[in-house]
Amino acid sequence: MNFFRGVMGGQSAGTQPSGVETIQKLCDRVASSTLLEDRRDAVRALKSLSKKYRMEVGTQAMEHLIHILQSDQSDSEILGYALDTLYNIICNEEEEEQDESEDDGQRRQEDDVGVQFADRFIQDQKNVTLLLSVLEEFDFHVRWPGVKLLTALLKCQCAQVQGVVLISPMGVSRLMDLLADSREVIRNDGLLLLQQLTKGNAAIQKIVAFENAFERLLDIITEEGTSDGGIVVEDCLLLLLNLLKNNSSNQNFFKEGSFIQRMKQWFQLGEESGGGWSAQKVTNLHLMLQLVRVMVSPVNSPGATASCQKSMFQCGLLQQLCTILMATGVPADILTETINTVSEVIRGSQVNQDYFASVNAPSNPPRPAIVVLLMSMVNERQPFVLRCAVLYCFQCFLYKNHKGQAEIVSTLLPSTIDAQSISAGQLLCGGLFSADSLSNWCASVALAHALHDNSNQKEQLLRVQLATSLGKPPISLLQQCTNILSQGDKISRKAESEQVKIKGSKVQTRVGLLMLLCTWISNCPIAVTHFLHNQENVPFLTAQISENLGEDENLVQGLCALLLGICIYYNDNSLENYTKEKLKQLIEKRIGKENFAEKLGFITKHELYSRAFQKPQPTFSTPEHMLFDHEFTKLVKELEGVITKAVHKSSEEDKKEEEVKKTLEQHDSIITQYKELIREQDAQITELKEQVSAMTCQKEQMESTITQQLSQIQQHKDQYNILKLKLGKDGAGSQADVQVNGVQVEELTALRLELEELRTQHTLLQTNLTEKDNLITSLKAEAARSAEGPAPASENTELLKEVEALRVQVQSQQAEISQLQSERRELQRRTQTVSGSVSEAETAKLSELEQRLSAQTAETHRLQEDVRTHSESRAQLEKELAAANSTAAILQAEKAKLQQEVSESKKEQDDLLVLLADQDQKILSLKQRLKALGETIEDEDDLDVRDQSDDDDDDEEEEEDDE
Amino acid sequence: MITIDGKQIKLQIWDTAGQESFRSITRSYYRGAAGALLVYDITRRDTFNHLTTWLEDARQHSNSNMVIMLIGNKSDLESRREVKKEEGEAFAREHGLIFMETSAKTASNVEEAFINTAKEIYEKIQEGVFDINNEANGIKIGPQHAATNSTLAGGQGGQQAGGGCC
Repeated sequence: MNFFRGVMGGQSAGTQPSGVETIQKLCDRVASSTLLEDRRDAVRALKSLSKKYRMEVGTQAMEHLIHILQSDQSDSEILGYALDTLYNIICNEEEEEQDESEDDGQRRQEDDVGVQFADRFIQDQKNVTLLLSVLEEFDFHVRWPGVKLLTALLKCQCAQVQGVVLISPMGVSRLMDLLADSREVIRNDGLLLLQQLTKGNAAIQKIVAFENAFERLLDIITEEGTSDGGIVVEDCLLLLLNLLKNNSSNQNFFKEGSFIQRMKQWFQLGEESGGGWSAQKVTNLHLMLQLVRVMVSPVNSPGATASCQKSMFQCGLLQQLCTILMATGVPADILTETINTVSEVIRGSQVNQDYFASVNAPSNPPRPAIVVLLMSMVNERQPFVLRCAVLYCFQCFLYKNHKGQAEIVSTLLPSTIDAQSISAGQLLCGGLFSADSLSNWCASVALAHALHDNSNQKEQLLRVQLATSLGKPPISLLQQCTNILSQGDKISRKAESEQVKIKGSKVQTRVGLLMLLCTWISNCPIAVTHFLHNQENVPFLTAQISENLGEDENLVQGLCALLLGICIYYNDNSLENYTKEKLKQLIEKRIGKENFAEKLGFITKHELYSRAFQKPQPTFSTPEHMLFDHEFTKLVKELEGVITKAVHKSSEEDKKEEEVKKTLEQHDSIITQYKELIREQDAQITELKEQVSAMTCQKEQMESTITQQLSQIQQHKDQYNILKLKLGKDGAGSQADVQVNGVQVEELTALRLELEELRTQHTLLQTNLTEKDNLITSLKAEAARSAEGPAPASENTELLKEVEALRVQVQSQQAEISQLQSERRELQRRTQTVSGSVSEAETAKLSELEQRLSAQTAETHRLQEDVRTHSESRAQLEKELAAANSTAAILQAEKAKLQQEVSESKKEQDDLLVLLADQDQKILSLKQRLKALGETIEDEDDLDVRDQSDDDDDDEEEEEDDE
Repeated sequence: MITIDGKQIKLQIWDTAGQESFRSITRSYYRGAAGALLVYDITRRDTFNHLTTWLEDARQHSNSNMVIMLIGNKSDLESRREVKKEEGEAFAREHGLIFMETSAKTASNVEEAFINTAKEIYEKIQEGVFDINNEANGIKIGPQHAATNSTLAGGQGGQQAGGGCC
């Protein structure tokens, strides 16, 4: 361990070489040692040396330390030492700031060293990625120095490190997770890291916001006790500012996420205002107010600002701010910022402006907040920044607020002046004519804001009369303003009254008044006339401009030139002595055009002009710099060009121009004439077009009707021809039809006769049928009789034959009927064809015929029906016949059965007879044998046989009887 | 603000850059997104060809449950179409995405694209796939039980960035 001794020795001796040597040795050790413990010890030693021998450790050990970060990730201890060492060499220690006595140059050198080392570290992007991965390690001794190191790197080489973090996957997300770390130290240092990370990089800001930063930060702020919280709250607020400032996307997200509503609670200050404003609290509140202002800044897009303003009013944030505004014991610093904040919250938002106008201070009697604020503005003893803030607030209150402008101006008008209470108007007038030039300026600008873009109020203000002193007639406000200008000037030169000299000679006062006058009479010819009406004004202005004064007066000269220019530009030529023309001649004679233009240019060339032009809030480093107003600078820009043009034009040019104008007008009139003509012609054309279209329509209609008619005619012609032809055919004799009809009649009668015949035939048939019926019934009876005995088959066959004959008859009759029917049909057809060909001329005849025909057809119908009924009855008869036939058949069958039975019984009988005969023979033979044998045993056997045969006989007899 | 199933849902839609150079930045948005809209331009085949890499990126860096919607934009420019609707459908089917063609110009299907994404996410919440108490999913219950989703909308070719985190 002799290197340790070396270290000790080096330190004790205080000689650099030994230090360098030691570091060299340690680096070798780190690089070559195989044992982790050795390396660890070496890194630890490097760490302890890194503050004192920062340069040496940095130059020699950095590579090795980075290598450790790569290769020894498993050992958190060595990682921690390495990170600490790197941090020490890169970080520009804050402690050094304490040694302010030390040479500044040396410090800068030290800073440079840090930046150089940071550069070397970042040169390889992998190192930053490596560091990000090291941050994954949960161990406090690794994560904490890691966070600090990354913060230090960001401080040195912000943009580069941001770039690397941005493109490494999950880089930003991982750093955001630091805010969720349970160890406060890491969370707080994480806040510092994110502050550095989000500086000026919109992409990172957006991702951080995406990772729910607003929610987490607001939670931390609430946890830490909002404005009463410590530096952590401040860090959170700074980070929020970073995220929101100039980042419209995040601002929108903040608003959409309803975070504005959560800001409200920040400003709910308790009543412990008994000096309970710690420096930290002031800082915190200041930042909170700034955050509100970021959301409603005039540089944001008007739409975004308007919606934020709306939600700030709706959630009560504005009301809360106004409470602070009117509260007592608020430090001036906070009060000023609160006024500025309120200003921007109400700027251009009618609802918020109206609310602000209604706010009253809790004094007795209650006064409007505006009045209270104006009192501070014209009060010399109030801090300058506060007075500026009030002016800003007043400006914002009147910005695009015609109602507010009218209210302010009305407090100056004679009819509404309330002598009892102090009004805004009174305060402004007081400020305008007070001995304090700053008040003069502020009051002038404030009053000018009441007139901006509002010609109505410009005219109203002309009515204002002032009572200067007793005994003298009241003079108008305009008059008084010009008087102060000219008096001040005159008096300052004559040095008659020291008091007035101080008042009038102050550049600030005159600039203020000139701005007011310029605003007042611009775009308001009546005010111009009023201004010119005072005989002293124009000579005063020309004198001011033409004089060759010192540089201090340049601005006043420029403003005088502007005022004179406005007098020309907005001149309605109503005053004979001061028409446009005459004023121009005056400039030419007394000042010279070039000179006038040069003097006019003094305004915009002024160094403070551009600064005021940039933003609406009046911010001045010193009260002396308070010369320009933002709205006024806009007005100047607007007017400068047109005035220069208006003045530069010579009278001839003017005349020419007028001529040109006249010709132009003539042209215009001609053109309008032509236009009218064209318009008329246009109308005519359209009318004609309509007519044409109507005509074509009509024409088409006509054509179609014509074609229709033509076709009709053709049809008629055809019909005519057909008729002619028909007539020609029929022409053989017009009686033909009659004949035809006559024939028909004859035919009909013939038919009728036939029908009659048929009917008779039918009746005949019916009678036949009845006869047959009778026959059948008799047959049935016979059959019934024959059931007892065999029936006579011959009769049956006879009957059948008869039926057959009848059937044939019926069939023939049917045939006859059908023939008749067909004949009749033919006749009908004939009559129909005849009736079809009948021509118009013969309709009468025809109708007659038709009538007859219809009668005939009716008859034929009737006949048909008759026939039908006949055929029906016949069918019935047939059925009956069939029934009779069937009964006959049944009877025959029965008979056949009986016959069979008879034949069977006969057979049996025969058999029995044969048997009997046999037995008789046997008996006879046996008897013979017995006889031959001489025996007399015949009794028993004989008897048996006899009995048997008797029985059989009986049976037979019985059977025979049955038959 | 949209209403699904009678519930108010506030969508937070983040438009991320679609150009290749911003891909690494876009990666930062995948975590904490509940859904993404992958948008290509139907009149430019190269944007369609890049889908695979973008999809890989999204799958790799996001919650595996992230709802991804495939959008073919500029459907109003039928005459200049280079990618067929069927191709988009096929790609979506192959990768398990929901497909739609939209036109930002005529606003056709645009509303539907976001509503469908939200519906899908809502269904996944109902199924319990998303843990609504874990804010890393990009979902949180609103004050009146209105869910808030952040959706990334990312597009390619600068026309409309596509990638949405809900």
